Amino acid sequence: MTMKKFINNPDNITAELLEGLALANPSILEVTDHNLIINKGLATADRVTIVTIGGAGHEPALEGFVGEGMIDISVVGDIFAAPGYKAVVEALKLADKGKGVLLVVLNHAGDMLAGDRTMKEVEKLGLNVIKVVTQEDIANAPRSDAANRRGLVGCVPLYKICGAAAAQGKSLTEVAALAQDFADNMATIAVACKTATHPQNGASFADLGEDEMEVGMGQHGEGGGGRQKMASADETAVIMADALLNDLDLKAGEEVMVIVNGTGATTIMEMLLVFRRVHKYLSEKGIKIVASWVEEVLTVQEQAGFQLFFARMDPEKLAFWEAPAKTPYLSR
Amino acid sequence: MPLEPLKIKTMLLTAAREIADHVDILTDLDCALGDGDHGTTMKKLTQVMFDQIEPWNETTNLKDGLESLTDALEDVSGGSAGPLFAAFVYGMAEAAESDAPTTDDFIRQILLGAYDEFFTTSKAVIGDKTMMDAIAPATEVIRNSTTDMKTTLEEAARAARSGSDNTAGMLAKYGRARYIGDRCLGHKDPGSVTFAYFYEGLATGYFV
Repeated sequence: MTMKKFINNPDNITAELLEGLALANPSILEVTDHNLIINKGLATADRVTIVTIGGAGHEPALEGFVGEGMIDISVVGDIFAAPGYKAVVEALKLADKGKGVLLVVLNHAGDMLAGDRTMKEVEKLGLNVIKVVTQEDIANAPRSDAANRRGLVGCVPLYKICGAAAAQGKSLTEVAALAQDFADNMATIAVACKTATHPQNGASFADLGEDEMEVGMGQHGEGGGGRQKMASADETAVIMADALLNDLDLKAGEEVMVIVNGTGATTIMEMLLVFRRVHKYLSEKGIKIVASWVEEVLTVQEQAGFQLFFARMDPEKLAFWEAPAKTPYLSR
Repeated sequence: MPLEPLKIKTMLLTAAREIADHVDILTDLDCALGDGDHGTTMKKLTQVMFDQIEPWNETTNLKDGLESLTDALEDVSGGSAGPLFAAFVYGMAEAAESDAPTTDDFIRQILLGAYDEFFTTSKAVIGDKTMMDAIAPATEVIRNSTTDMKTTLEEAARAARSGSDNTAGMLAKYGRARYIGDRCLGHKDPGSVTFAYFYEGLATGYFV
């Protein structure tokens, strides 16, 4: 299996990319043992703090959003793999500044096992931690069966909104309630037209045909939804927007955030075409886009495709979304 | 019948070697169903087993040794296979009597304990297209066997392999394979294949 990637020893990718991230952003974050990426502002923080966990290989997410106003510690696993729970417990201990910690876990098998195991230790140690799970992928299960919904790009705006709430002095109970409310009102659907390569072993995940796309592609290139003939940007935007509108039951007059998240090998050009159509489509339906982001946020190596994300917004969440933040890949 | 004290060491090392020798197959299987990292994960986990178990000697308390092994396995960033494999080994440690002589009963006890802890953590049952499809049939053989340990382990290994082969016809209920629906048919669950190698290694290691 050959692969054309600029890497060194495949076993060292995670450590090397984290070192690179820290060296590139020395005023914002640092990397420590157990692959913890820590917000330098944590040292003097007197507020609720935000910790998250997840595998590497999805850059800039998750660790690229560590910094003031978003994530305080990102516990990074190896490529696509959840971290061990002991690193998570260590992160929670470091993060607790006396006001409690929000632990954000994306619904993926390994992350959930690590999260559950961590919470057992949290109880033993008497730490003040509330865990919130993001599970907004609509591709595989109805809203009523959230346990079978994966966590996709939705965790990132959630970090932003909760980070801002924490910075403004909200209590852990308030931040966690906000996180849950945001999570309950968000939805993502993904599409892929070319699959990715695992950077440690060169393996391709799936075998999409030349003229095919797959709606419902997961976070790691694992398949998920319907394979269909490749469609235009406009057609694909409408297929996906309809699915999200239906899932969220959005009505005329409501306000939403829209994210078009490139998964690695789709150009900003294509993503802008998609966003354009989504914007017009929602406008026709009387739904107002109050926040938008067209960017590579949470990628899957060189997978071609994107995730379309909608979240129901209110003035409080919008203010938190627009509040200041200073991280390597989101600053305002 | 008391065995030589380091029988368990040989069995576990042989089991780890059996898995480590087949990581490429595990990777290929996982590419068909999941995100392609199962082979990489098992390479890391078996390396931990080699590092931890190699130093065991006649004076090693196996319960302590298995506990340290669990601890080291839990440090690995290994997706879901990591904590599940660690749970299996933790079950062995829990079931091991401290300073017990290594007898056939001891082997039986720790392998039954491994199943219990694995079930508690995974909540998987036969038919879910997981590691359990290899572990449960092997455990049943070990639990019910009335014959000698060599034959028991060989039968357990055959049961694990056949259970793993059966996963090709199953729809997945856990892990990433569950998201691809009936396209997972025809592909064996990579975790179950890992445990087929594991039990085969135990049987070979017992005989060595």
